Amino acid sequence: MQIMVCLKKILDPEVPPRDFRLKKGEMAPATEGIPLVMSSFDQNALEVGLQLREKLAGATVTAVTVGPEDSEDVLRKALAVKADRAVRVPLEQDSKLAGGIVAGLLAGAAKQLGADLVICGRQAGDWDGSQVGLILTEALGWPLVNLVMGIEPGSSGLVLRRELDEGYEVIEGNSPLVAVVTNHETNVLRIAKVKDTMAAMRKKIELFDVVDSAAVELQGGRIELVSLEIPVKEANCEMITGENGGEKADNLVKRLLELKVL
Amino acid sequence: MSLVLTCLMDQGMLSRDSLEVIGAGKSLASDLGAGLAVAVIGAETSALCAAAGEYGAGKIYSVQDASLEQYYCEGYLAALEAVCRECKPVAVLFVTNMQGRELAPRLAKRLNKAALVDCLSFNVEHETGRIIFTKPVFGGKAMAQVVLSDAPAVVALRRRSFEPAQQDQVEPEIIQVKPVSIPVNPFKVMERVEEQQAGVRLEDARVVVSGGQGLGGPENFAILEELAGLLGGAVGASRVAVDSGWVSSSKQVGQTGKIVAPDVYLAVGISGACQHLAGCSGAKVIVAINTDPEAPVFGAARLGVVGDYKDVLPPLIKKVKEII
Repeated sequence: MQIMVCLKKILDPEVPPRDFRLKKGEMAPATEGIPLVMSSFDQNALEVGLQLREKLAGATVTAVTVGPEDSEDVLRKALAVKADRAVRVPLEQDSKLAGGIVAGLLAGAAKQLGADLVICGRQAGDWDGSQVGLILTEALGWPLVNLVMGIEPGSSGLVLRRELDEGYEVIEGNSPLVAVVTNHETNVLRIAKVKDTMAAMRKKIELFDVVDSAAVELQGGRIELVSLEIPVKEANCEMITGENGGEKADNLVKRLLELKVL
Repeated sequence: MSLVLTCLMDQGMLSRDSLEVIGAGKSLASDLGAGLAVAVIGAETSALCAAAGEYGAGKIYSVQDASLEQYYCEGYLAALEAVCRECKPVAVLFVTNMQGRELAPRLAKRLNKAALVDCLSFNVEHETGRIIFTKPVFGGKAMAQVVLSDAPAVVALRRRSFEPAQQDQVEPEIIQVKPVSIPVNPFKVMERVEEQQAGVRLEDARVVVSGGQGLGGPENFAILEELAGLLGGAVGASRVAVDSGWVSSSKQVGQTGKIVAPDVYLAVGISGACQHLAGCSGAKVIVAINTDPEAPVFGAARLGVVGDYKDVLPPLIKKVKEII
């Protein structure tokens, strides 16, 4: 089975609000001094792919990203946790909310690879578009399983555990399919060994040229960004004090009663 | 007359999600000078049609088929595509719940249009008639205003961000839509576990007591359960607590978890990432208990206690027992 995992390099979503700024005169975040990382749900997707490969003889995991050359960092990271292959589909522009273009390029890559299973994260921690895996599903014409926590080989196909609004379900289906992954305790990305990280630096990254499908995607609807702002939030936290925990608890209950919320 | 189509995912009774999407649909239709239409899907939709009529749905597009008794993405998608081709709406609204998340982008792609997920609000620009949608980006650290290039805009609205519709009885016109074909569900459900929460549902609770990394382990959630139980509330958690396996993912509060709007939200040992605060910013009062006075959670809280929850919660429980 050819497993393709889609990865995106993004501005570290853990950066605290006080360090998050916008570029002057541009509808884009300032990137100076902020680390760039693999989007966290993509890390979950990669772990789901790696775990499935371990249970399926002959399966391979190919990490794919769409972006400029410096986005290859996320591919190196995937190679360091033992992805078999790494592919970059060049795209120079900042994808912003253009999930349709990225999805089109990824669909092209999936066809070129002959992938049976495409795994994506549910949303990227930068623009939070939450669409690439779903549009990709349509572009490939495959069935979708959304909010997947883990995938196992089944007796006749794949067994997927997916999150519901209240609870979860386990379903079985056949490849090809697209799985869009959410976080779960079982899919936190493993840590690479130092020697594997070193070895990953020397591995080959393949370039795929999939221009045609992108052109098709551009004919679809677009999301146009009109403005981007950092909301002004006035902190007005009233600190509850006290000599010890007991006094603090008493004062807290008193204030909650005064505010008529208890 | 142009129409705003709101898509309901219920069987029989209208859920809070449906009332919110109908409420938002009415408001958008009125801003655009358009009519409100509702899509209902199921094996037998007459009860749902009647219920939607009670909330002012003048035009109801109904897709009835035995295969659609239970929700599955491929089937509902085919049904909604058929409705859109019949109704030709200017906007299609969903709720960002399990169904809306997967249906909105796929439906938009089938209509060769764009979708937006997790929309917080919208307004219609007077001069141009364009609909400007607001959506949080960068985990809520920034707000983007966007327009979708051409109609229909397919949009999933964030839960608990729109007022539910009020009753407004109309005699609806019901249009039965027959999709050309409805694909069979490509997946077989082997097991479905509905997590029955003891007591109140997290999203309906008046008091939510949430725990995060600061709790240090699953066993320490017991004290949160006790406090929540006393107050008739529910327990929530941050993503770190879920990823660590301390609590089930259905308790996660935040951008990609539950969106809650209780009277009191007690954040215990939660640092307060934007992505988490996005799930509780609708609370009347956020109370933060944290050992680190610099934790970002204090920036969003109304009341703050700097201290170890192990010192504060036991006397808090004792005090609460006295007053209830």
